[in-house]
Amino acid sequence: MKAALFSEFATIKNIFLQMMLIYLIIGVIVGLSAGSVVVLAAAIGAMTPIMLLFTLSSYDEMNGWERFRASLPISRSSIVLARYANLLLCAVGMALIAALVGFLVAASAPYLGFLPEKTVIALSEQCDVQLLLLAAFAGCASILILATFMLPLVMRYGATKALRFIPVVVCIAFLAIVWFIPELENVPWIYSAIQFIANPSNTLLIAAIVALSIFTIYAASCFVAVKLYAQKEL
Amino acid sequence: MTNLISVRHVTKKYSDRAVLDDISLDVPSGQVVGFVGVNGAGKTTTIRAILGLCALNTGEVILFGEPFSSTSNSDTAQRIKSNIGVVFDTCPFVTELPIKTIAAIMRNSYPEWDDHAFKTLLTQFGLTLNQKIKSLSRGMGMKLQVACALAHRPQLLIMDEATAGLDPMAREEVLDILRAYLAEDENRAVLLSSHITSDLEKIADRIVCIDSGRIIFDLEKDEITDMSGIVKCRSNEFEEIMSSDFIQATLATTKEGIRYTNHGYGIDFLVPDRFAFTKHFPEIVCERATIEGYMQLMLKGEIR
Repeated sequence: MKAALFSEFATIKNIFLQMMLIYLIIGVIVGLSAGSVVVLAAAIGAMTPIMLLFTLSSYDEMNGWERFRASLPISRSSIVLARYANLLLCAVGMALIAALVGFLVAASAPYLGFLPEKTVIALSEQCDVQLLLLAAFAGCASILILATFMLPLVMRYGATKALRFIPVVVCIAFLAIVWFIPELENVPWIYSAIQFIANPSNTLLIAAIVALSIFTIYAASCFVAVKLYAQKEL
Repeated sequence: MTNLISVRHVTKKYSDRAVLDDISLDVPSGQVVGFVGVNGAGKTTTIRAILGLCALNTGEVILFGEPFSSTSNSDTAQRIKSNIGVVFDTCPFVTELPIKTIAAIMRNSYPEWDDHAFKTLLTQFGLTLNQKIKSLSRGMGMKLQVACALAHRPQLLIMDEATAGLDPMAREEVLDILRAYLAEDENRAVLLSSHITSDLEKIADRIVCIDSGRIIFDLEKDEITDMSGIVKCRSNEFEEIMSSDFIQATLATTKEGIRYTNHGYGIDFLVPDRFAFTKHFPEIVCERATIEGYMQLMLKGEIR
C-alpha cells in the first residue's frame, strides 16, 4: 500500500503546484468577478478533485503506465485504494487552501483599490473562517459525490471509455431523482428535516453528517472499484 | 535446472477468438529463452498472461514454482513480482516525470532496489537523474526501462522487444549487460521476446516461436543454428532429393515433413541435420540455418 500511495503522490507531485496555481488564479478571478469569496472558495474546492481525477486517469493511459505499474509488486487493490486516498487527501488539502485564500482575499479587500466599494463591503462581510471552510468543503464534496460514480468506471474502463458511460449513469441518476422527488412529498419528516437544515445553528452538525455520508459513499465506491479493477485486462 | 516460468496449456480468448491456443513453454534457470513470432502472433499476450495482467480461459502459469495469475492473492503477487524485472516494448513512464521520480517509485516498490546499481546503469547508458521522460528518445527510454528492470536484481527478466529502437551499439551494450546479469547468478533467467533474431542468435539458449496463438517450435538454439540447414536448389534437384533414401529416412523420423518455399527461381528447404545432408549431397548448397530463415520456413513454408 505504501508503494502504491507513493507512486500516486510522486506522479502528481511535479504538477500539483502548477495545478494549484492555476486553480487559485481561476478561483480568485471567479470570486472577485462574482464579488464573493464564498464562490471563490467553492470554485477552488470543486475544481481540484475533478481535474485531479482526469489528470491521474490520463496518466494511467499514457504509454502503458497502468500496465507497467501492475507489473510492479503492488497489488491491484492497493492501486485503487491509493487512487481514492490520493484524490481525497488532495481535495481536502486544496479545500483548506481555498478557504485560506478566500479569507486572505476577503481580509485584504479594503486595501485592493481597484475593487468597487460594494464588492469590498460584500467581501468583507464574508470574512468568516467557518463560512469559507463550509463553502470550500461544499464545493469539494459536490465533486467528490460525482467522483464516487465516476471513479469505478474510470478505473475499470479508463478515462476515455468511461466518459462514454458517465453521461448514461448521470441520466439514470437524474431520472431516479425525478422519480423519487414526488414521493418525498408524502414523507412526513421531510418538512421538519428542511426546517432543521435551514436553521443556521445546525450548520456544523449538518456539515458533519454530510461529510460522514460522503465518506461512506466514497468508501463504498472504492470497494466497488477494487472489485471492478481486479477484472481489468491490462 | 528448475523452471522459473512454466506456462501450461494456456488458452486466452477474446470473444470467440483464441489469441493463445493451448500454449505451453518453460523458462529454466540459467537460460535465455528467445520468444519469436510475427506481429500479432501472441508474444505480448503470452507475456501479459505470465505477468498476471490478463485472466486466462484455461491453463495455468507457474512462476518460481508457485501458481500465479491475475487472481493470485496480494502477498503471493507481491512476492513473485518482486523477483521479476519487466521491460515492455515502449517506455511506460509518465512523460512529465524526471528519472529521479521514476527511481523513487521503483525504490518504494521493490524491496531489493539498489540505488547504486541504478545510477551505475544510468551512467553507462548516458542518462541522468534530472532528465525528464519526455526528453528521452525511444532508445533512451528503453535503456531506462532496462536499468529499472535490473536495478532490483531480479531472478527473472521478462523483456518484450527490449532491444527494439536501439542502435546496434546500444543493442550490443544491452546484450552485454544481460550476459553480465546472467553470469552473476546461475539461477537467473531471461524471457526475451524480439523481432531482432540476430540478437537472439547472440544470447539465447532456446528459441520458442509462436504464430496465431500456437507454439510452432520450441528448440535449443543450437538445434537451429548449428544442426539445421537451409538447402537451396533448383526444382528438378528438389524432386530428386525428395525421392532419395536419405530424405525418406529423415521423413520417417520427423513428424511434420520437410518445410520448403518455392521462389520460382529455386526452392529452399529445411533439413534438421545439415552435416548429414551435405555428406549425402555434397554438390547441393546447404547453408547453416539462421533463426530468421528457420522461422520463415516454419511459418510460411509448405510441407512435403
